[in-house]
Amino acid sequence: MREMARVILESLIVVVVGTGIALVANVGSDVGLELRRNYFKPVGSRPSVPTADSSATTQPGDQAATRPAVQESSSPVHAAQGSAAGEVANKVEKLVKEAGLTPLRHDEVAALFHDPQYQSDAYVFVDARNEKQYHEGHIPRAWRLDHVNPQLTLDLVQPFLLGAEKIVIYCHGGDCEDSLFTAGYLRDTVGINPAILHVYTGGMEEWASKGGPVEKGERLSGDITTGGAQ
Amino acid sequence: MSEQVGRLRRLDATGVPNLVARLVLGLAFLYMGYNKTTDPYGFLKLIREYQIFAPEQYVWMNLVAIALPWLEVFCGLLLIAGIAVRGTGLVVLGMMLSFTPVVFMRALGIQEAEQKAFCDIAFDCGCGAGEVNICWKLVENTGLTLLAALLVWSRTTLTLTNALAPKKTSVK
Repeated sequence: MREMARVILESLIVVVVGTGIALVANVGSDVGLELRRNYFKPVGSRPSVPTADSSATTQPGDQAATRPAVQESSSPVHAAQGSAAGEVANKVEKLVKEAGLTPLRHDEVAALFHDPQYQSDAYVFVDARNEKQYHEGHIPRAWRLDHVNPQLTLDLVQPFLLGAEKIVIYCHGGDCEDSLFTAGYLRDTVGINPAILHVYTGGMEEWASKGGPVEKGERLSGDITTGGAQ
Repeated sequence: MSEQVGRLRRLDATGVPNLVARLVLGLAFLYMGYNKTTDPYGFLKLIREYQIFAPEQYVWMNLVAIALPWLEVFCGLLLIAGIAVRGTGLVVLGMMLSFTPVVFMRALGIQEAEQKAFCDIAFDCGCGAGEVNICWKLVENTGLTLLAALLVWSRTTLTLTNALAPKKTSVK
């Protein structure tokens, strides 16, 4: 009995010390989490800005209570899909609309990608996944910026975001909501006008599967794999 | 029955089963824990998918995502080094007995949603090894659970703790 009590005490010490090490390691990590931050806070729960001038940006904190009307212009992206994957994609698309943002289909994203404005940085693509996933393959010229650790890349990306006419944000696809959360971050914290924020709900998975070009490594690395028809 | 227990005790006294269990569990926890430490947000998203925590309990969810990977690494190192083996074995046993039913329930949910045969289901359970087949995962977890139970039960002498501080025997 005494032996078992000793083992239990030993296990409690292991848990306490292990948790202490974890908290210290987390503080010292670039990719550490903030204990008191809600990483999955619904994006629509914060008011956005009026959309009188669709190309204008606003200042942080200058957020009126008026939310732009839900965008109904895009046809249902995954309406034809009756599968569980289609239901998941529709759910993400619904969340994007509820946040007052515009979901985009693959062909719309491909059109923006091939537009000369994309090369002149008037259209900016943002990859909201983590660094490892970005390096494994991203849409050519896309910047990396995620809502979890935006401080890692925001200084570099912000001037392009503030000068953009359209911003397309994507993550993995499927049930991935990181593009939506990143859009919410850009709207609520950076002060980007939601009218120029677009979310590609199909994400990298759909882009690659439909033959879109994929760039590996750093942005503009030149290591581009060109797929088939888009 | 008592004869079988006696035989197991004699086998355990060789220290070999304990050593094997320690190394297998230690390496497994070190590997799986380390993989999670490199992407804590990815791990947090996987925890969220289990829907164990209500949305307003996000602090607890964050705490689990922060603490669990490093606790696994710590346990792995302790087991490999042979320090506090029985206590660490109890922690690992507790983890395995908590995680396995949760993973099983999630697989049942996926099976219902996707209408697949149970053993055709593969998903990232947040265990640290990426996407895995559920049946293989359950077999693996059962094996790890048994090894952890062995460590709690075992009274072997092949540990670093005993080597550094051998028990004194009184001579009268």
